[in-house]
Amino acid sequence: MPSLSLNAKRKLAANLFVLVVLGAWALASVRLPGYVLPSPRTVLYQTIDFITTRKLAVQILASVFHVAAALILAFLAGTAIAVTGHYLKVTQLLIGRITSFLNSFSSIGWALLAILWFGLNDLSVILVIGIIILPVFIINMQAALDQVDRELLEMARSYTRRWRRGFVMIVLPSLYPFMLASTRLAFGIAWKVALTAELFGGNSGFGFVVNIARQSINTPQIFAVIAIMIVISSVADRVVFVPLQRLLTKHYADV
Amino acid sequence: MSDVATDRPLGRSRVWPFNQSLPARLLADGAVILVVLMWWLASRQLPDFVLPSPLATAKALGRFFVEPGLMLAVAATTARVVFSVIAATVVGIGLAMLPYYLPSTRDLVRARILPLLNAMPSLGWALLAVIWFGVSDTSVVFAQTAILVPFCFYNVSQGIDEIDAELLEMAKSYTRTRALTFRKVIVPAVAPYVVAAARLAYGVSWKIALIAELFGSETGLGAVMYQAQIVTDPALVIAACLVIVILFVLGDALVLRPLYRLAAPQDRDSLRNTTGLRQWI
Amino acid sequence: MQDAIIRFDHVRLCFGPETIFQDLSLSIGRGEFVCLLGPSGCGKSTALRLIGDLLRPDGGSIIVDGRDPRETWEHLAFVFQSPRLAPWRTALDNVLLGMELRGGRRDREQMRVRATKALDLVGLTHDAGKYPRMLSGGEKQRVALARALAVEPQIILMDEPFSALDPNTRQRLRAEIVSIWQKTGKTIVFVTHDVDEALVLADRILLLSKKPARVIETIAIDRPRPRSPEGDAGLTRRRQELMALFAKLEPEGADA
Repeated sequence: MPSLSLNAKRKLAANLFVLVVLGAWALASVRLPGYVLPSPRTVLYQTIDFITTRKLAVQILASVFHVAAALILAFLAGTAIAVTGHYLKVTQLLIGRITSFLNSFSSIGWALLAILWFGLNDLSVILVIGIIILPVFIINMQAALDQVDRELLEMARSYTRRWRRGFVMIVLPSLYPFMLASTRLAFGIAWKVALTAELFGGNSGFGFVVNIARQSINTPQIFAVIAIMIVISSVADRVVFVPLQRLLTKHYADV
Repeated sequence: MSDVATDRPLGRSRVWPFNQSLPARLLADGAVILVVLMWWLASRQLPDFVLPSPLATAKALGRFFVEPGLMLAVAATTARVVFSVIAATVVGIGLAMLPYYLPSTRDLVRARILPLLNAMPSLGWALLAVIWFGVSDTSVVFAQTAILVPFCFYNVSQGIDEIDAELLEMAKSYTRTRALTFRKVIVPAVAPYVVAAARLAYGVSWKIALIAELFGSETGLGAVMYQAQIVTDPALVIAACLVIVILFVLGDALVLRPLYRLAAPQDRDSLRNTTGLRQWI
Repeated sequence: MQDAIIRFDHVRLCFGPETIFQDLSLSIGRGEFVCLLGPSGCGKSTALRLIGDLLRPDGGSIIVDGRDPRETWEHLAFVFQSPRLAPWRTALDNVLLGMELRGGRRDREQMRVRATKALDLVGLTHDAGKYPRMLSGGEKQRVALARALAVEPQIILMDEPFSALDPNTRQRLRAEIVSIWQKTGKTIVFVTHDVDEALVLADRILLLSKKPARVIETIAIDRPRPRSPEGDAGLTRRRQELMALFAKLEPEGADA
């Protein structure tokens, strides 16, 4: 194939790679015991089974609920903290300390402490996810506030002396793209740590299912959960975040 | 390219800003004292297995500096973290360079391998590692490395994307030896991003990748924390978390920050400069 | 000057250790088109900010429209060196932004009418729906001008508004600003470091010295408009005088 365009070569290489991996997986699964490496077919059936069984589908919803609640809480708290630090310079040092503490505190530590303090329930899970992604929002919103165009702010000040109008008409709109970007980033992290939080601190959701599967050495079940999680996160990214971001950058991109 | 933008090469330290005003110091220090005080008061009302006193926690923290078993756990974890950060950085560089030198592999890396690695939950890697490699060092390092690779990849490939095409053309006008261009232009241009990638991976490994030790190992801080939780010893859980914070800060301040300054001398003075418009900015 | 709308008396201003103005006095008449001409970095833009109360002087007095600038900042509008448009708003919405920031309970429809009129005046009738990124540099600066006109100020303060544009656009916009000034009768204070620009535009040129700046020469230009430096003997003479003065201010002759 001498005359393939670069793009065609790229697509071909990518798809060939997937086929090779699937083939290798299928071959390896024949030789290895099912609890070490289940075959692709078993995982596929298990996944379909998972989605169609109502009892298990409910666990998907539980995880979605945990992640959504944590995202909303962390977004509100993180934005509030960043705005406070930005406009009340006195609090900057304190907020810097809180952020670096949160940022270096072990995620598993939070999970284990949450069980001790709040027990195995939804609240534990939401709080753990929330506190893990909180620094993401604080740091990104701080950066966003720093990047608000100073010339635009001076322009606004030449037209009004009401701080609130400047904030609503200039600062907030300048933040929207950053709000979306940090939510997207936080969603990716939250979705992944949800599994950990639920495994240790939850009584519902993917992590809960995985914990049971782990104890009964149900490897296909673990594979199926992971597969579903990957699908959901990439679909959410493509269907929700990418189009939104495209829309925003269209209007908010600097000239 | 959305993932892991929390640590950029130009990241300025917000952690220890110098020249803080006295009220700011008072507030920050006062808040710390207040939290410890409230912790102490609350711990007197609550049973030890819910909230240990600050003193009990400090004692548990002290155990890490005297008890050989715990010291060994710290050493084992540190070794695994360092090893997997290095491994992930190397793999990340490799994955990021591949499309640069073999353009036809771009989609393979960016649209197949990366999204998969990226969407894979950390716990998934930890569990798979145990299933495949049993309870062993290999399984911990494998899981940690797998978790860290996407973080490294994104930073390094951002660095490669941002190599100045005009600078490359300039280099080409002076030399046709690719190795020289590589050494004199590409390496210095990408180095800050590589160090930034390692820094990010280092932070993540202490925070998240430790999960691999909960299942994949009977030694290390993860295992210590898990055991402490099972016997409801929250003092030890908190102390282990604090040890992690300390190790993270030490490694970052003593190794990675100096390394970054070495790799990116031009960013040394990138402190925030504020001008006028105080209450408006 | 009988009817001064802007008057500086012995104004002093320091930024930390640096003295910008030691003793600056000047006055600008109502309806006048005045150019503040001076070498780069002499504090011309700073003087505009003092007029518009974006900065406060350290000493001396400033009177704008008969009162302290703190009370009269709403009587004027700025056009900055860069257009400073909100990238998320269309041209029309950017013109509205100025009015929205000024606030007051004006009805929306009336504001739109005024914004549209302002856009007509700067020749952007057909580009009202475009976002800034779709506009050229000259068009963006026109939107900024329309935004200033739409709040119906008595005074327009322009801070080297055309310096980032290409020569042709610059020339066209100069002609337009003069015709807008003639139509509306507003007072315009125009900062520039370009001698030819000042000559083409101004009723009066205030030549500022280097820091600490003061007015070293006031030059009235009473030539008929539209002007062009070529073929106007009076203007050519003025130009030679100014160039000679300017050369002394910028010994390097840098970028006049």
